[in-house]
Amino acid sequence: MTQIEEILRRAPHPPPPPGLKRRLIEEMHLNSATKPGRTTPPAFRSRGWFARWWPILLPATASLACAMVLTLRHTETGLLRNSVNLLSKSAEADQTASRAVGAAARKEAPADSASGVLTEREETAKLKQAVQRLKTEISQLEKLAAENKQLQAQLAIGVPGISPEMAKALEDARARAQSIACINNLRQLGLAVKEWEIDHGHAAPTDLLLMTNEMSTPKLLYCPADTSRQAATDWRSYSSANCSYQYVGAGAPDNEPTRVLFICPIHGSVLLNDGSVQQGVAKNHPEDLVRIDGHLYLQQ
Amino acid sequence: METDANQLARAACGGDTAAGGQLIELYYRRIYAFLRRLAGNDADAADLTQRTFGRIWKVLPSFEGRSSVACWMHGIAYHVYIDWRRASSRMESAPDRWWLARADGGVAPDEAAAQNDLRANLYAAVDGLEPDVHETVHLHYYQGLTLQETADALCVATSTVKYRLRSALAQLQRKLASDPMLLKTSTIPGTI
Repeated sequence: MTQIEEILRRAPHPPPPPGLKRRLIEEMHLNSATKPGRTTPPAFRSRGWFARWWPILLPATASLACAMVLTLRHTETGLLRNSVNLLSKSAEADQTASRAVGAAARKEAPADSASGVLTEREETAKLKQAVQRLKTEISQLEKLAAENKQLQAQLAIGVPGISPEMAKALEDARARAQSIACINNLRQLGLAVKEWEIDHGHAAPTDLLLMTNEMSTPKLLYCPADTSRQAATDWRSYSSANCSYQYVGAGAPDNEPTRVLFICPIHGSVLLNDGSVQQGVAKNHPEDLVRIDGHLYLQQ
Repeated sequence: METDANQLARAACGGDTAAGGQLIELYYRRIYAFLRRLAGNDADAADLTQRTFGRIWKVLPSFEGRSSVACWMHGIAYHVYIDWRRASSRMESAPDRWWLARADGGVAPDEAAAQNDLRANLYAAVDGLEPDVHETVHLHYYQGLTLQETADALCVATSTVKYRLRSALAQLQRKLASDPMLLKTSTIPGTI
């Protein structure tokens, strides 16, 4: 401590003027004046630790309570689940045992067991109801089948509401669709032949069955307008009876683009060796097809 | 003593006038001395002391006991003084030369005269410091409050109090060292 500090600490106190203490006591206005000697005021604010920490303690307590409740719920749920499992197992066991006992009881004393009789009656009633229901469904199905047959017969005769013009238009549309499907078949057959030629010395196969791997389905060989045949569903069931087209390009080299490979005898469409399809040529312009050395060509 | 003061404060809060009277007896001299040094005259100091105790009774129920009663009362007195200074537009404190008239006997006449001159000039130098600094010096040195109590009374940080006190001692040292009249009588060492 320096001398300055020492002097400052020993600084004299100015004496208060006389009468100041008396004035102070006279002006003393306490909140609730009581008799002297009372030392434990109720209004004195003594803020304890709780008053300071309640903003933290309150949320912490709430969080803790929530956690406890959740834990209890979780535990209760687990216990309930276990008890449900146990009960279901015991119920299954009881059911099995009761079945076995019931069967044994029916064998041993079928007439004596009143509960067994009741159960059989209930089952009989249920079966009768089921039979009734099935009979009703069968009758409904028979009705539907009859209506279906009637509708089919009407379609075979012709729809009475359709005029002849409309029927002709429908027929034409169907024929066009079949012709387009036929042309599409021929195009795909041309692609199959091209694939075969690439793999086998640039010449068409001598037999259609040689290029079954290049054809996606035997239905390609069936013209939809061919009512005398049916399309084969797979190559195992395929025979020449399932083929609507005439294959006239056996062994044709790929450098003869105008050589005819396939002919549709129904629509007259021809597939040339260049992959193009000429619609209705064999039917409408048969003179354009010329035969040279036993092979058929389209005359340009 | 502080425990007694706290009990007295509790009792006074409950309306015990006798306890209030004891609190006055305990602290009114110190409060008056504090305000007397700051205000500069007896009349204002007495008036400020009365205002201080009036406010003390008013806010006594809010006293939480987190600081000492002395610190709490000095804080109220300081704020009463600040309010009074602002209300009367006194930006600078105007201390009188009370220190010069204050004699302290007990030593030889020559030495006593020199010591008295030194003290009076030192106290006057303290009053010449900036308001914040000299109020800090008053509370810590004159009133005997601890650093923490001084900080609480002034509503500043303890580090601020320390800084102000270091600054005050440095300024006082320079002021006394630069005054040839004081140098003759001063025995203050060159460093603080």
